Amino acid sequence: MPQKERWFLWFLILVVLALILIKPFWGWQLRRFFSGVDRVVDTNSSLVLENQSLKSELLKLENLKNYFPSKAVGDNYIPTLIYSRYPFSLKDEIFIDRGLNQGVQVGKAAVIFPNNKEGEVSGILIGKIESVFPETSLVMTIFDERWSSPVGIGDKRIQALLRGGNKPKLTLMDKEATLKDGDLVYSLDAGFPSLLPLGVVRAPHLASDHLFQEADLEVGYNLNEVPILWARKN
Amino acid sequence: MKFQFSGREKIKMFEGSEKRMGLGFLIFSLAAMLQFWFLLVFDFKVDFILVSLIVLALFLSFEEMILLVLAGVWLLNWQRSFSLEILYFLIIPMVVIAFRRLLPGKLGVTNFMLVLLGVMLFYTFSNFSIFFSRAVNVPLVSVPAVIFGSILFFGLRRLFRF
Repeated sequence: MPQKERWFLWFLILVVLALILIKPFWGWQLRRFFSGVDRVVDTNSSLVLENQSLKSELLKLENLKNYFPSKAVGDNYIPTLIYSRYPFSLKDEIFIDRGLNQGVQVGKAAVIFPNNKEGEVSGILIGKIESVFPETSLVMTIFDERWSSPVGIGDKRIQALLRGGNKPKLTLMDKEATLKDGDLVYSLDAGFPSLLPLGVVRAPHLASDHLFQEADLEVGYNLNEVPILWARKN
Repeated sequence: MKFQFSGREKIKMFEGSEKRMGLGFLIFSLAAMLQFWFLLVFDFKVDFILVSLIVLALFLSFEEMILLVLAGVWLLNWQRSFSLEILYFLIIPMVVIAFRRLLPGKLGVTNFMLVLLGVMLFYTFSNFSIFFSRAVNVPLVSVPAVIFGSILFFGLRRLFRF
């Protein structure tokens, strides 16, 4: 390889290294662009462009508003913006913009409020704080293969174990228990606020070992489209 | 306009670092778009970027690979600091390029084994327990990666005429 080309390549390598260390946020923005999120429509007219930009801002604000609780949840939750998501298979972590200095603690619940309905105050449990840094934190979601937590189902409080994954599953349910599609699933984990909803039961069936029942957990949101989550303080 | 090129003409088209780099970046960008598009459409992640870097390591020079791997790190690193997964992502293509002279030529089987080994090693070091949580996890991470890696390898081999 000619010397000039080699020097040029090393210059580019240093530039990318600097970007990794100094501007990681640009990489996350580029990833969002590749993902097809936040597309901006380009036009010829400056007025139309400004109009589009304003509409886009309004849409973002409307979208954000949908993820705020309709009633005050007090000081128990910290609103956080989602920076980026784990990019590889079989593990689902979210990197958020609040950390130790803002009161985030390891092991606490991470919830969302996807429906801005009157009376919606408990939020939907989507994960827990896995590790905390001074200004940022990592959240492990229920879509992570490592997730495992006790849950209850329906008004009869049928006990089950929620196993995480791309399609979270409800396992170890009593073979004789009566389950049906749409039964509410809520958390029974002692580390989270009591009875935080997770989703609903879908397709209950006998497990392959014929000793227990299993079912899918259906959630009413697309985590890729959620811009804000709320970290429990205590 | 000429559409059919001889082998010698194909090699000439991709001589020069800028042309190889251009092709490398194009493949890298396509792999990145494919990885994120898969997630959006199928709600499932396939490691197209890692696989493309493993295959490209058989064709590009050391400096060219470092550049592409660092670009991958910048695009994929989801935290402010370096995580272990990103470190493995960085090391695996570099190991391929370090030992490629010992590999038995540019055979399809070699590429198949490299991609399979690379992906399995990546998940072994980053999150070993997931292979025991569900039996379906092994084919889930390896089969799409190997298929993509094979298609990419045979395409590049025709272009570079190795």
